[in-house]
Amino acid sequence: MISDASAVLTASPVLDVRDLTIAFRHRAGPVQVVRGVDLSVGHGEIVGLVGESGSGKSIFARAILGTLPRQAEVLEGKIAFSGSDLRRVPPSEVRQLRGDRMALVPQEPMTSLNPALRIGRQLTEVLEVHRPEIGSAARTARAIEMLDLVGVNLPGERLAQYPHQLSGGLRQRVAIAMALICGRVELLIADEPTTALDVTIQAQILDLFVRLQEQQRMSVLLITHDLGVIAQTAQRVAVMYAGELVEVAGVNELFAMPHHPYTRGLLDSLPRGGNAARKSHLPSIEGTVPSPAAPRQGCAFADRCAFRVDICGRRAPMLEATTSGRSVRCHRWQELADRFACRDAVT
Amino acid sequence: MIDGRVSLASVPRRPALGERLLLWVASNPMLAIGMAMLTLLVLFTLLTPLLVPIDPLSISATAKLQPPGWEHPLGTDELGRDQLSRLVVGGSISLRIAIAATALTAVFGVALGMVSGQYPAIDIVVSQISDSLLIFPGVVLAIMILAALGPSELNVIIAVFVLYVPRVIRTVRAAVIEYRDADFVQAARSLGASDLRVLALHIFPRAIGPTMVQLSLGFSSAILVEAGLSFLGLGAPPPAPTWGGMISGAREYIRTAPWMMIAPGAIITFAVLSLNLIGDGLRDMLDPRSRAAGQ
Amino acid sequence: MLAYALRRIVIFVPTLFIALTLIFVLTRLLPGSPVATLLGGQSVNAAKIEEVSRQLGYDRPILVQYVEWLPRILSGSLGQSLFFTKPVAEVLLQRLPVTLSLTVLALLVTIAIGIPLGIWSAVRRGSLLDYSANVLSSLGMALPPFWLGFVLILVVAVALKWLPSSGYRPIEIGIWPWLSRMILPTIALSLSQIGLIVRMTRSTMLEVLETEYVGMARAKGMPERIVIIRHALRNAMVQIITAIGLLYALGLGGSVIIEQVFALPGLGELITTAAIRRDYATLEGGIFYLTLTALLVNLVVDLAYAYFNPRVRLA
Repeated sequence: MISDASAVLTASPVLDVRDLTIAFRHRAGPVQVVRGVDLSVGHGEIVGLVGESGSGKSIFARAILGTLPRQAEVLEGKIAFSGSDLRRVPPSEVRQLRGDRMALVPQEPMTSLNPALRIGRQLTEVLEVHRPEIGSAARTARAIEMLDLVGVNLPGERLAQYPHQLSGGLRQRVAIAMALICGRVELLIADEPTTALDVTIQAQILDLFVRLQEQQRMSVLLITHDLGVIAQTAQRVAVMYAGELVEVAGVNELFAMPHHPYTRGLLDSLPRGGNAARKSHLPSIEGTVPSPAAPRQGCAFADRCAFRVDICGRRAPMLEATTSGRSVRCHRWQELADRFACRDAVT
Repeated sequence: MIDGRVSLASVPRRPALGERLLLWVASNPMLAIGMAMLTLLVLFTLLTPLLVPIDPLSISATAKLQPPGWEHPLGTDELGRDQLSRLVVGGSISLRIAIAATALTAVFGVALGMVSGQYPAIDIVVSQISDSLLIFPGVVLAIMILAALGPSELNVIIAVFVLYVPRVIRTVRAAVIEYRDADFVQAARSLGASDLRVLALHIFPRAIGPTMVQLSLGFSSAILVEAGLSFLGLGAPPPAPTWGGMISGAREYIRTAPWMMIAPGAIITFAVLSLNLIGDGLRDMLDPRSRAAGQ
Repeated sequence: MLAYALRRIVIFVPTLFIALTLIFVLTRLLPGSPVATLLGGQSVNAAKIEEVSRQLGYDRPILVQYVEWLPRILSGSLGQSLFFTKPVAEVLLQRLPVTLSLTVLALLVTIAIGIPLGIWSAVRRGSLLDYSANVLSSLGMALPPFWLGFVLILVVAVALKWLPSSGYRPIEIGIWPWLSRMILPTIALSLSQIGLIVRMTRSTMLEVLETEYVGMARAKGMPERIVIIRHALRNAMVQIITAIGLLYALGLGGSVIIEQVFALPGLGELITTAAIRRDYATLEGGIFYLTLTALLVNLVVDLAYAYFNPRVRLA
């Protein structure tokens, strides 16, 4: 697994984000919500991006797609998609990429389908725009084929239905079909694709994701606040805190030995199967993500960190490279890594 | 982020009064402009009689249809009455009617809206009637009421009230229904709070924003409707000078004395505009949902 | 859709009933016997008044009058006008085209100008156009329509002599004679409505443009034109259409005054005079007609609402 992940990394990545900084315009000046993020997604790789709500992960996704809200702007950095820097490509060409070579599976299946349009229309319009050479009958056939592929029963009849006639799970399947319908997706960005769903449906959708990813040989950036989802699907994980990456690692290594205290906290708050007694005492991380507008000195996580020392409040740590593609942003990662590993061995 | 500007802003400091006023104006310019315009209007109706003391009812055979000049800043009408004085008195009549009608609308609209949102049995009757009144062309309804009761200030108030109370009922009712089953309401009920207590203390505060917006718009509409009714001869009866009545009286002289028409219309526009601005400002301030959409 | 239409029609029955009852009660409250007013010119004596009252049925208990009156007015036989000495229905049918010309033209102008302007200022928010549209709509809503009418007469008809100042020509005489006399009243009536619909459209569009399905349409790579028209506007229309129904009722009310300003012989002018003359039959009939058109427009609005809102249509 480790060698797999590093082999993938050496090939030229589908997505390569360098030093990306995004800010919201405010009366008092710009407020940075994403700061100097480096992240790449290799061919056929599933990369998980984890963070609490408000950590900046959704804005990061929208920046890649080129659909930032009007108050937000990319201040600096590079977003390379298949080798070309999207910040230098005219917006109309980025639009041509969206829905075709890079696609989004949205967070809220309840609200991200258009309530006034039939399912069929919402699927075929993607082909109309990106594959104008396909005739109308072939578009419909393709829509049915895609619904069938993502496990929607009675696909032919669904085309004439409206979103409100479908359950949440079905809507998310439709949204996935919509993302993949052009058949040329290289990068799929899934923004909390299962958060709004029931647990049983969640598992089904995640299975579908992994199956489709293998079938279509695409790369996936999976954004979630749930490390459990990452464990089931991703090969590599990036942990985001207050707009910065605090740890990047292969999924097995990260679960085996987290380096950053924040990652450690996230792992601790995961319920472990089979250990019912522990479930009633799930530790959680005290406090909340600091506001991006608040003045900051030192490490962003310092206020909530159980391992903070003097230096944490004075100097901001850099993202340091460790062994085999891992990196971590913590002054004390080396001593803590051992401690975290030991504690894991004890429990 | 270790930016001098940001850390300075976070140091608490109580700004001077003038600065605070400026900040407030900047944060809600529409409300500020509207208030300033309304203050100007009120000052105009209060101060002009002191500066230009002419009886609005005094008729002069020698000063008929005079254009604006030193003696009569806005000219005179067909009976030689001073237009400026009439405008001022008309303004106080207009404002009086609008204030009274809005107050009535507020009291009955809130009461009926809350009752109708709370009790479905009453709701059927109240909603059906208020919806019917909304479909009914408003001015026609007002004409019927005034024709039935006769033209007088009180009856104009009643007509305007009937016209606008359905809107307030609907607004309040919608808020009550929205929060009727909310968690905090159920919590209050489980502690034994009565319907009245829940409505007054828990639900009503949340309906205040939209209701205020609706009332401020009703206030400006009341001025327009009052003007329209007195234009039709159904407002406060002559010789009381009303803005609408002045426009109506001026139409025969539209070719010979056009100035008679300009001032009353301009002042109605000014009054309504100021109240609409206040309404918009209130909406921005009290109804954050529409603020997000409106920015 | 058909079931929905039928349901809406059924819902309108109590509304019509309440409106009719209101008409009946209010016209009966009018002070001064219409018979006395009618006989005003003749030497009035009690016996004569009583005789005419009996002929017209005004002497019976009010409830009996109501029970007889309701089916009669619903069947369209509105009785004789006391003043025009011909059937009320005939008088009304003469007046109806005038009022319909004015209100429908005003509504069309309002929709044609207001909705695109509202969309435009939502899409280009913060631009000069958005700012001007906002100023224009604030001003439009503050101008008293009847005063605007006079100013238009003063400027366009009297000073510039571009258009006739008042009066009405049926459309049968010719499109231009009809239209030229309709332009100024239509502007006077529609300006405030345009102000309303611009603001309504703008705020609804801004709300819809923030929704996730619009974000999704962008993420699918839809061109901005399709995002705005197919995805945003279609959903915004649901709310805009509801406003159009209320707008028409407002326009009908406004037409009563505008008809006075431009000397248009429409229903509004008829109602105002009938109210002053206490001509029950004409007053009732006129208001009944106005109410019917308002109800019809609201029915059309409800059907359009369902067209844009599948949740309603398929419920």
